[in-house]
Amino acid sequence: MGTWSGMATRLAELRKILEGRFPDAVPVTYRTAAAVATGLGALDRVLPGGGLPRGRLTAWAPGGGATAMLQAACDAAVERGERAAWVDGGRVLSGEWLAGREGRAAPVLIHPEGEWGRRAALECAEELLRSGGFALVVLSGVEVVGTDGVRLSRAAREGGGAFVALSGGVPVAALRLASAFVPERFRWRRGPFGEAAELEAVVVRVKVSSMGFSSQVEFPLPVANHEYRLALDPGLADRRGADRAPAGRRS
Amino acid sequence: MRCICLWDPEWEEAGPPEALAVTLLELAPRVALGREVVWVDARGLPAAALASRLLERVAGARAGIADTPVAAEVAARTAEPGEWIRVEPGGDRAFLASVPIGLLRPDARLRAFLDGVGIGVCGDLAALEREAVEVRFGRDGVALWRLARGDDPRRLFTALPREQPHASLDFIDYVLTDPARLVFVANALLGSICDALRARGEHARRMTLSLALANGARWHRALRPARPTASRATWLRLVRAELERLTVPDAVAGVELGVDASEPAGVCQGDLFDRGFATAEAVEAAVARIIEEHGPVVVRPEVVPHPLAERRTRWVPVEPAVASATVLRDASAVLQGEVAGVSRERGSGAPVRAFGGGLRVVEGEGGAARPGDAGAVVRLGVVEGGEGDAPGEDGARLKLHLLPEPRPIVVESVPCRDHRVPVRYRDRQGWRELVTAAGPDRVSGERWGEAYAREYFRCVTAEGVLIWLFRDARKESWYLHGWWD
Repeated sequence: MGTWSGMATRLAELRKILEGRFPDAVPVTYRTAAAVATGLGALDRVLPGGGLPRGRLTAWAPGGGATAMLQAACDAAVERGERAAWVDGGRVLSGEWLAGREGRAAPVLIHPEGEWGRRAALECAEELLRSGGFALVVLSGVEVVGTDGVRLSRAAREGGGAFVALSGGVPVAALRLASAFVPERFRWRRGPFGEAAELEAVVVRVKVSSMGFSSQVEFPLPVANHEYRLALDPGLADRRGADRAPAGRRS
Repeated sequence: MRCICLWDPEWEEAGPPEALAVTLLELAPRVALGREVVWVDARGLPAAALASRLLERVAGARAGIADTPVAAEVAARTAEPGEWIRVEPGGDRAFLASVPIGLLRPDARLRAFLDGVGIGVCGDLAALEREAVEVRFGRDGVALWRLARGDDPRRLFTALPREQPHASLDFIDYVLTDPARLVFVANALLGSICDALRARGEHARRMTLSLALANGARWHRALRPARPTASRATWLRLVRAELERLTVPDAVAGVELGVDASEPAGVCQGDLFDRGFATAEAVEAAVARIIEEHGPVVVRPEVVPHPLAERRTRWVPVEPAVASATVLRDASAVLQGEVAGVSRERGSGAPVRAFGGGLRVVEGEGGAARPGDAGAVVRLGVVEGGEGDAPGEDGARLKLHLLPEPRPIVVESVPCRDHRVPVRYRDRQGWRELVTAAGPDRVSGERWGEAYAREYFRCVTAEGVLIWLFRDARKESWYLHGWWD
């Protein structure tokens, strides 16, 4: 008993010391600002505050379904009447995520171009964060290193929105996430020969860590399979095929 | 509304001359020419003195002064030449009571009815009940009954629209063929317009950009920002965007910019369901700066069902006003607040699982409370716990992402029936084992054009990454095309 009470006293003293030395450093678990819910219940339950922290930089290592979960978070923010933006520095997002939304609110998508694409992506993200009008800004395809992370973190704090960098080497981050697929829990649809034909769903393991906090969760994610079109005309199948060898090799 | 009616028997045939209006406008602020009479707006003016001065200019005319047009006209028709009759304010009905009904100019059929029942003066008709008049004389009778009571719905002079700020510049000795140079002119014009708006404490909601062409024609465009503003930079950006798209049949001889609609600057309008309310302007400005600095990088996709995945998406630039808009699909999303994916059995009162940010439906009235349903009324409580929930159909799902260009790779494959299945591949980081390869899915086409034939495989690497490979059957080479994330 004495050990426990002594430990509690030391913790209280430690907190006082930290608050005195770093008055502006509010741990994300203090819930001083409402978090941006991702819309994925299992993930929101393990995130401090029930979502991505506003006014803070969150680092999420690419891969493992991170893009899908963040796209869902952007959609959830838009559904709530807030704004979300995605800066696709790598220009790899397909159009299927935002297609067919004419007349409806959708996340803002930015595709920086040219040899200065990385710098442009960082500047666009900073501009969006400082505007204060976006609940969630995601930056993908660009490594956030060094002072870039500090600048973006400050911009997030100024604007009050949640900022997520899909990057592995972010030096300053209030929250860090890492996700990976659980390979032995892939759900395949089998073909007539018993082989794997189509991947229907995967199980994702997400690890969440912050200063003095860590957690992890597993949950399933369905897979949107690519629809193969066989003809330009949507109503017809193109059965013309093509020569396997160039025409010049024919006898 | 105090008005003066001028009447001359000579105007019965051809009406008052139009030149008369120019003469009378020297004395009165607003003049309207009727079919047989002339109306003058006497609001706020000494009507009697004004009527005397008007009669001095129009020899032989008579004038009537009243609150309603019908009383003023009857007074003018009953006055002597060169004289005016004034009806006391509020006394129109009493004045009309003794006036013969014929002065109201009823049609012959109705006049016969009225004579038949002994109605000779307006007072007799005005004393009847409306229902009785309608039953006996119909709709025309009711209209005449109103006039006999001094109830004239005509509004001859409505409130003057306030002149909006505008500016123009005409090129006298030369014409412009490069629309980009017009931006400089527009910038100068906008300066005076925006200064005028700020001086009045107003924001412009809409402006019109007009170009006078050398062939005498005019080109117009309406400009609308996302939010009313008096910002010169915002309006210049809109003008520049229009001028860059400009295609006119002839050179430009003049430029005009004018405000069509404005509102007080203190009014802050926004969408009720916009959680970023009052930040829309800041967002639009931020997006506009991004576009100005980096070009048309704010885009939306246009997807076509092309067989080749890399040709399916075309990126279309988005305007800042569109990018800053937030529109909820329906009000039920507001009712549900933070809940996303709440479902409830129809008619059930039991609590249900929540997919969203921590709220659960504990009671409800009416039908199912699914996202997107309108009219569902639910009361929300705090989630008390729950197991891991699966994202629903509208939740996250892994999507295919493509490399900008398919990347050539080296693949080791094994035979399987009529095709070869990849078992490992080498990229810049070295060899990677594939634990599963689903396929092939064959795509081919454009035999008479740029022919293609591909065999796609959906593979899982030993690290658990889902990738998309294809074998080009024409070139006998392998490529990495994308991955799922």
